[in-house]
Amino acid sequence: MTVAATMTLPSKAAAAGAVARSGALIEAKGIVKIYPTVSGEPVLALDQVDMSVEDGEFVCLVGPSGCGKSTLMRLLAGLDRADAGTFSLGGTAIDGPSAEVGVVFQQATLLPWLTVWQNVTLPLRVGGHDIGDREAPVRELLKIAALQGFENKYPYELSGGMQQRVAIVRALARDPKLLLMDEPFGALDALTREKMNAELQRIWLASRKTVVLITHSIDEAIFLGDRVVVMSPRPGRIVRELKVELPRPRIAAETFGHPEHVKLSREIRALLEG
Amino acid sequence: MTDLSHEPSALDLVAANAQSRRRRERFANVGIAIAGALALLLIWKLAVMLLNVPPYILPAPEGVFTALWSGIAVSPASPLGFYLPLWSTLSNALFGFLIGAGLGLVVGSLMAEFRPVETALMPYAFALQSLPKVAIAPLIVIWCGFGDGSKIAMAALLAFFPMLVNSFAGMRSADIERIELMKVLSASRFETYRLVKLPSAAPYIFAGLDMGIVYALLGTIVAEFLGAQEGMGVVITKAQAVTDVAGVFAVLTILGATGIMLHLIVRRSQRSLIHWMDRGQH
Repeated sequence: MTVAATMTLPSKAAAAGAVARSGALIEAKGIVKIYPTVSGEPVLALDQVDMSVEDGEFVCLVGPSGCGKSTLMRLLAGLDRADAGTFSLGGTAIDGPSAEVGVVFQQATLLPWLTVWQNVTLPLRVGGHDIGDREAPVRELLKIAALQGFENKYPYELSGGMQQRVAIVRALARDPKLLLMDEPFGALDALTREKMNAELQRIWLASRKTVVLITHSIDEAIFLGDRVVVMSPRPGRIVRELKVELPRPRIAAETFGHPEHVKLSREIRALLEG
Repeated sequence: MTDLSHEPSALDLVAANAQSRRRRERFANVGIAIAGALALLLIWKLAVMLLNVPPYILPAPEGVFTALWSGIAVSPASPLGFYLPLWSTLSNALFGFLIGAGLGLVVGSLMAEFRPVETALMPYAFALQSLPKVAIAPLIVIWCGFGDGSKIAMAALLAFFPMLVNSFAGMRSADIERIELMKVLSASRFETYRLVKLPSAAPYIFAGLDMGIVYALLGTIVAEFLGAQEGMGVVITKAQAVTDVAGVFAVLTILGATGIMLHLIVRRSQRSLIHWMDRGQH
């Protein structure tokens, strides 16, 4: 994990590692990702993306489908490699999956043959480890996520929203520095989704993790984010970053319709419609 | 129910109604099945009587019943009963099934997990799969002799392929997102296999077991036809030699019942082991 030499631009990687500004958890510089396609014409998914995320910040990435936001998340998760550019997490180059990063996928992706408890402690037990002193914190997380008493249930006994909360607790089980969420509530109905946003804010306020959340809902991005990063359609580029200056904890009834919300929402919509 | 203060709610009543309806339906189904069997026996009996079919072609139902009874109503240790040959056939079939199904699972897993293994073995798997495997039985008897060895080997051979194909297909069907999850968690290859791929393949594996157990019984019987000292296949060939058709029917009845029992055992263990199946995917 510590070997940085495998990065495509080692000199830049070293530089990024050396300057790692205080407060910035993620530093991305000049990220390029090209995908080969069946037809032969390679697709430029990300073009020179620069991004930095402060420690403890909640950043939402919005963009039309196919803008490369999921690609960016796969790179951050260490599931894919960038073709150029450097990525660092806490000053170290990202060159593969790391225990410092928790990931929540679009689907809850629970293992249906394991109970809720076995699912949330899976990250702890992988690699031949045992749960050790993480048991109490994980129980606390289950409590925060309103899942207490469901430890011995199987995923099929839970609603879609509860399953996604189990997935969030699982992503936090190792106490990662960074929580990555790829359209985590996209599969839920609108009302459940709004409730889940409030739940997520509550969990976040209790844990204060750095979060990068990908969404195509403008409302969700403004409701949750400290900052909203807007991406352009292919090739993916960052077009604008907007600070969200709404007080927390945000409540749906007050946030939606708040002048700041209306202003941001109009601005983002204009950018997306280009 | 002793708590008299508890008024049954509308929901309780609905649930109770649904339960009694289900019970009634089940009784009705059992009734239909019994009536069908009785009708079949009646037609059989009438056909034999009215068409004057001689008993060495098709015995009357009661002739089969008598043969069945004479094999059952004896001491388990009697050489005339069905118990000793059935035990011989069943133990060889089960032993062969365990070997064949176990090997099928291992080879199927290796093929699913390692591309080179798949590339190397797939052509042979296909070729052998299309070969009518009972045709290999004479060779097996030459190699393994007339004892238990050839019976076990035939059972293993026939149980091997359904397991190989099903475990391979099952592993390959594992959800990609779940595999990526394991990648994110830096799980080892074996952990991904044990925690994701093997359980994902479980429904396929059980389908393979279900087929394999019946095939194993078939393989043992075929090997017994070709030469054996004991077993149900031997009982059939002996009865055939003296045109004791009722005796043949009696053995077939026992073998049919055994096959159904084995199938039910697999089904039952499947239901308790993979309780999560078909109950929501995520």
